[in-house]
Amino acid sequence: MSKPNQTPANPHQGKGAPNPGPPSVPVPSPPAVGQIKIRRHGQWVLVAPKGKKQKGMFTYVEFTDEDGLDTWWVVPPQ
Amino acid sequence: MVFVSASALFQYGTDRAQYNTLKTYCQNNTSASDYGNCYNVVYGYPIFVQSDTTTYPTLPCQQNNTCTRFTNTINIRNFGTIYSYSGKQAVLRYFFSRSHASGTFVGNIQYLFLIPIPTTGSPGYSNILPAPNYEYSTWPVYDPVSNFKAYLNPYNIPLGYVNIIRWSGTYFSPYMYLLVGEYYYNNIWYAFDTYVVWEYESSPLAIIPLSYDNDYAPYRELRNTFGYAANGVDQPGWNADDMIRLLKDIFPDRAWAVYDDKQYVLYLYNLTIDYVPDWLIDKLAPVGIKMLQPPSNLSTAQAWLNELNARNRQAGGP
Repeated sequence: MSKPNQTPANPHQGKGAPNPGPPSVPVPSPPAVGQIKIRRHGQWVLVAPKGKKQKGMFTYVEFTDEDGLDTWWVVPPQ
Repeated sequence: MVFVSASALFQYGTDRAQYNTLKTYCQNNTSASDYGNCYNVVYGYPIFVQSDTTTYPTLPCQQNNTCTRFTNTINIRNFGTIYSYSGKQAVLRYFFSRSHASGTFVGNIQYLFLIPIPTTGSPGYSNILPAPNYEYSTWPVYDPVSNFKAYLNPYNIPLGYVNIIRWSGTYFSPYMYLLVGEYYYNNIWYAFDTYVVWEYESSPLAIIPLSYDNDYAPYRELRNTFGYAANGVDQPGWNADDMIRLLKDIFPDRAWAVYDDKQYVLYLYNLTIDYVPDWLIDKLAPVGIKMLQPPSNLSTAQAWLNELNARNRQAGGP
């Protein structure tokens, strides 16, 4: 029996090609202090917002994008 | 292909939001002591046509800013282009038009006098109006669709007539004008509010209030890059990048925005997010907003907001 933090023994060891197991799923690290997670181009991205603004039905965070433009992006529920 | 709805509201002396308090009228009896006065003007200016500038060089309503006077008689008065799209399909779906005027329908409802309608040709015998059924009432008159019970909201103006047309249907045309049949009558007046709803193919939008005659019509390139709408918002084009490039070139000193309906990003030029009205955000629901250029002069951004609000009172503008 594996102890905590111990890699479990491969049950297929010595029986041909090892089973690679299920593909690893990256676990998003929790946002650092002051960072907010937004959804952009189908991916979660962490940004350091310069401000937050409510406009109409939506809440936007402000940050400087990779293209150098001041950008506001919709904030999903955190 | 997705169609989206657009609307525009035109108010000349009356306010669509007020139903039973509308009492706008003008005095066109030349024998009356108050000839040339307009009363109870709520929003904008009623129209007064008087071509005799010798006897009447200035009307009282001109002096106290309660009318727009025309000194020419004309067959069809054009109150402007409602929309004009280049290569994009648009469909007129609905309009409500109500006028207070010195004249009323003539013969039957197919012959319209002093009430504006959105159309592509003569409003007198419009091909978009349905069967020639009509009702001609004496006071009070009422809109039987808006007011289920006639006695709740009767119109009652001291002078003139109230004309109402409410139309819904499907009329395919990439352009539409707001026209009034005056038929060369002189010494007439009318105030009106007209609400128009149409649909068009979902596309990137150029959000800049333009004057069709002064700064839109001269540029063929502009017309080909995106369409014109009286509300300054529903101006669809083909490609957001092209629209941004052209707007930077033609209007470098004005404020404008471009909405990319593929990426759901609203681009701002000479604007900040603070100048984007909430009703526009709710209409477009952009995921992202990017500032291409901060405003060098805040009055430029404020002018954009003011004009946009004035043209979109139906959407939430003050």
